[in-house]
Amino acid sequence: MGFELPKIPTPPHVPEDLVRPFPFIFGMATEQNPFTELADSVHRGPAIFYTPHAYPGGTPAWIVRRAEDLRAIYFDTEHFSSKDFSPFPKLIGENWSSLPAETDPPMHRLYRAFVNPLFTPKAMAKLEDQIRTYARGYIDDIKTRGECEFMKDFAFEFPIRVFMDLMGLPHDRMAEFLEWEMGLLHNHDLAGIAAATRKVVDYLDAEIEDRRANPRDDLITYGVEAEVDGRKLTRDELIGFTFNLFIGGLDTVSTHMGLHFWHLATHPEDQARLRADPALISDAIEELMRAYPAVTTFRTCVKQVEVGGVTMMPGDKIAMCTTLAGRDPEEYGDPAVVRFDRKPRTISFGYGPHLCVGMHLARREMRIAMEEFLAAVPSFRIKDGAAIQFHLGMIQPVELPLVWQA
Amino acid sequence: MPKIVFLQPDGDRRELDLQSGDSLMRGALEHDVIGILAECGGAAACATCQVIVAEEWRDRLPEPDISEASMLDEDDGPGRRLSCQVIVTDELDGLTVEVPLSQH
Repeated sequence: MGFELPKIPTPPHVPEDLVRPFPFIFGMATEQNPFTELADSVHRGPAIFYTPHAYPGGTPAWIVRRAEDLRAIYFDTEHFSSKDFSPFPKLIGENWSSLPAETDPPMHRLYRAFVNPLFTPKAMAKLEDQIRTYARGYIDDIKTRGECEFMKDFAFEFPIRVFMDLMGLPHDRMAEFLEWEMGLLHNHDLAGIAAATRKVVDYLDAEIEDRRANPRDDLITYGVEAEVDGRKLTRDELIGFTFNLFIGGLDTVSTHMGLHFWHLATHPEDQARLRADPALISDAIEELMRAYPAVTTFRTCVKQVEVGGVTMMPGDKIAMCTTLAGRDPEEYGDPAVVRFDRKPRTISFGYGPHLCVGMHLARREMRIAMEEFLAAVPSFRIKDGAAIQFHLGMIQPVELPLVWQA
Repeated sequence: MPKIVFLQPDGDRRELDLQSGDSLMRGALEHDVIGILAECGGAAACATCQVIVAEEWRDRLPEPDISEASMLDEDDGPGRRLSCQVIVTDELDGLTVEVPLSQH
């Protein structure tokens, strides 16, 4: 390894006894169980603490582990801003914000109203058959092999197919898309992330221009033709909108699929229950989303505020770690136990005005993938001798080798 | 306190005294009304707190604003509202709403 995290002095408003290490360090990988070993250990400490290295690049952040405190922060747009928490535009010298994710009131409300109709439950129900066709395509390819690397053979590509249909992008560029996604979201080298960002933005620029001349029934055209606040969107807003969709809905679905199937592969009795009664799958996915949430976003404090007895000052970053929220023992009894009948209220998709706009689509994709895989592939387990490693940052299995009797 | 009536698909009927100024959603959750999920907590961001307003009441509610309207599907038929965006007032005493079979 051999890199040293920079030593950051603690600001005066942060009590020294609240400065603690945090086991989730962006860009590292672990063989420990990120949930039962890492997340659950954090819940044995203070409700809110300060850690020097939580934010990508090695900057400090407050860690808030209780679901109740996170809900309050998610809702409080007066004291906490969502502005620009990801590095992408700055890496290529541009200035747009992912939209609506990285915008604040008053424009956030208008941007969100513009995006919402695209992702309502009814709108996503229309995609059911096509999503199932894609899932079957991947599963048909793997079911007779008796083994697969679940991430590479199914989970990474499957959500991209659906996304490409929505955006009106050609499927013959799938491999390129996947490469860009990896470059953006699976890269620790800033120059590499910048290069991937440049490629994606150039591509989106070209597609946006094309839709101006040749409108179609897709999301890019919807953006080009929409009026927000009584006017058309600017180029920066269109890039922000399409880029947000790009990073929002691909890797996140893949990673949760990977985590859910890792659970099923290591819990044969749960796998058998769902195979025997597929009607349980919807509830199972809700509980798996509760138990294995992967995403951490950030907020920036913009106005002094007290949360749980802790003073936060403007400029402070706050890690909104869904991985911790789903395992909060004050919120969920026995959080380490996965119970398909728990029917939890989760904040794995966030909470408040920025709640994941794609959640109905994500749930549909995950449900269909599980329905089809369990129907086509017999009882599967982790390949013998394989130790599953997880990326940290967004919690993702590095590889998930599964085997079964084909 | 205004009385709001919540009907369930199975015919169950509950008459609840709700606080003026609260949303229907807030009142429903406080009284454990089944079928109001409210996953976003009342931010017009999830469309899982929907209710179907009884026909005779539809014109008596303020129109949905841009955020609420963006979450309602015309396919669902008339009368659908996000209960987190309908605020209880004395004028709405007796308002009747139906909880849909599914929020998804």
